[in-house]
Amino acid sequence: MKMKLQGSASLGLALLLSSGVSHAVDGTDGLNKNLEMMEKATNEMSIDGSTRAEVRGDGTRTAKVGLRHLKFLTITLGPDGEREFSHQTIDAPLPNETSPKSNLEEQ
Amino acid sequence: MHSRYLVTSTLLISLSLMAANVRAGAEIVVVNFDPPGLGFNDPTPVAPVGGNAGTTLGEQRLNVFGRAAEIWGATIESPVPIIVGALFSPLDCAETTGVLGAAGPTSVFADFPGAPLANTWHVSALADSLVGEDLAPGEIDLIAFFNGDIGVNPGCLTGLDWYNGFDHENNPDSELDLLAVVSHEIAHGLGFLELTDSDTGEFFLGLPDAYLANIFDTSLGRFWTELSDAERLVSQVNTGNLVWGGDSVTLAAPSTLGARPSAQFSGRATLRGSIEVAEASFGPALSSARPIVGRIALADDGVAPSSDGCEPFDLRPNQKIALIDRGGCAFTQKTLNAQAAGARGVIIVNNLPQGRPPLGGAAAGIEIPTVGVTLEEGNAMKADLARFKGALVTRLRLDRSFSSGVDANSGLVRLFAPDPVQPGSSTSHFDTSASPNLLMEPSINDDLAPSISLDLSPALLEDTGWQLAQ
Repeated sequence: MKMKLQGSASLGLALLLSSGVSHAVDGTDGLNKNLEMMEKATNEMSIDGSTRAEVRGDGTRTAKVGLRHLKFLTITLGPDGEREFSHQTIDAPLPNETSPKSNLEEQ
Repeated sequence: MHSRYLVTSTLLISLSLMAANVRAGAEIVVVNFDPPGLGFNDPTPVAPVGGNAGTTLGEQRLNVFGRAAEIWGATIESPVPIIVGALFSPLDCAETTGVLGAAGPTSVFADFPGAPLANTWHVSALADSLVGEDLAPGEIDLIAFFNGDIGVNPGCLTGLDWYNGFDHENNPDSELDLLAVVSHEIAHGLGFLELTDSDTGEFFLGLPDAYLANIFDTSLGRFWTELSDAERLVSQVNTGNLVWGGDSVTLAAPSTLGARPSAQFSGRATLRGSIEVAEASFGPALSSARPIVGRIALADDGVAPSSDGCEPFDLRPNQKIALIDRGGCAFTQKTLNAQAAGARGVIIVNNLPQGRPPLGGAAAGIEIPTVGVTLEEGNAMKADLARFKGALVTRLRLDRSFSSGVDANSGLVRLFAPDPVQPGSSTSHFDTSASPNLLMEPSINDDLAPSISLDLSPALLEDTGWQLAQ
């Protein structure tokens, strides 16, 4: 699956939501740290994730999960507006499979 | 656009809220990653809807994310803020099919100080909450993508739009409840997923995760952590027999799940007693107080295959339950034909060896219930019809002796395990036999109301190690 992500964290205004209260903040203030986090994550979040775990001094192991493990929720619309849902992984095509509660017709 | 004074003030408010939430709940911070004019920053004017006071499209989207963060933040406990990086940008989309969104953890941790399970991956937000500190300072915990083309680009899922209100009951048919979808996806990011390779059965980087540590195969009588890679490959498609072994979900299930849709037979029938059936999304629901009782008759519409009920057919006056094979036409067409013949109910037999038929669809004028049975069960009914010369009676009803979505023998809640495997859907969702529908089934069903209830999802996260807010 191709993801078309647009934009960059380095551009413009950032908006922060905190427990349901939205806040508009200038991208040049301290929240830039969050923007950098996001940019770092999207740039470094590879398809497969880590190929080996990193082991820290205290024994903690850590690894990047990778986009392949994300559940891409997809929908297909039927002629009467009926909805079929399925979850795909990033390297799967758009769905032909349907989810059990919303099949359009018999196969 | 925003003054420095305003920025400072809002930050102070944010910090005070964060401090207040430490005592009960978690602070979930959603960081907007969209560029100006798009996604969360779309300036298109819109009218407030369903409790969402936003007056631009972008603002309403942000408010929905904020509402979902508020719901989950009030549900789980963490002394460490959970950072969600979010985009509402165009994703793959065509006129009739497209990606709605996705979310997941960005990293996992094992064997951190105080880890409840050794040699086991925990998603970042969970590990932070257990340790009480941010194990990856400067990194987000979850990432979330949602499709900003829906409702904006006419070539993307034409006719469908997001519903940005918080009141699911007023969601128009042409709109999809964004709050339900975001709530569903955030749950995946909080650890409602397992990381096994569905092609090989191998653990992620050699270790199980806190979710799959609770997956239990009732056929094998073992947890997934006790299976070989090859056994997990078989187990992931063990439809109906893959269940959640955690105590919290098991204890919460009886008060969350409704009675099981069932077909009941007399002692002489092959299927004696009460068997589970699948209910259709169309027509009236089954009732426990008013069962549908009658003789079963195999449909014969005179056009091969004559038992598919795709053409009009007749029933004798004493035949009230039409038994129809799956295939050939829409489920709704079969039911309408049965109804026209005088049936009180319909049983549709799967044409695949695994599971019950997925009885979706919609049609006006359907006034009788439709249920689905497995191919094996359908064949048993047909054999009994021949053996008893058509004298086979059933009662279709909600059976309060059993909970829907629960394995009757073990009492454990089923996980979604279709055959063949559906990567992305299989094992990381509850099974679709649950009723009422659950937030973490593979489908976003119309009756979900995350503002009111997250149903069994918090209990499942508790089984993976989360502490729930009081």
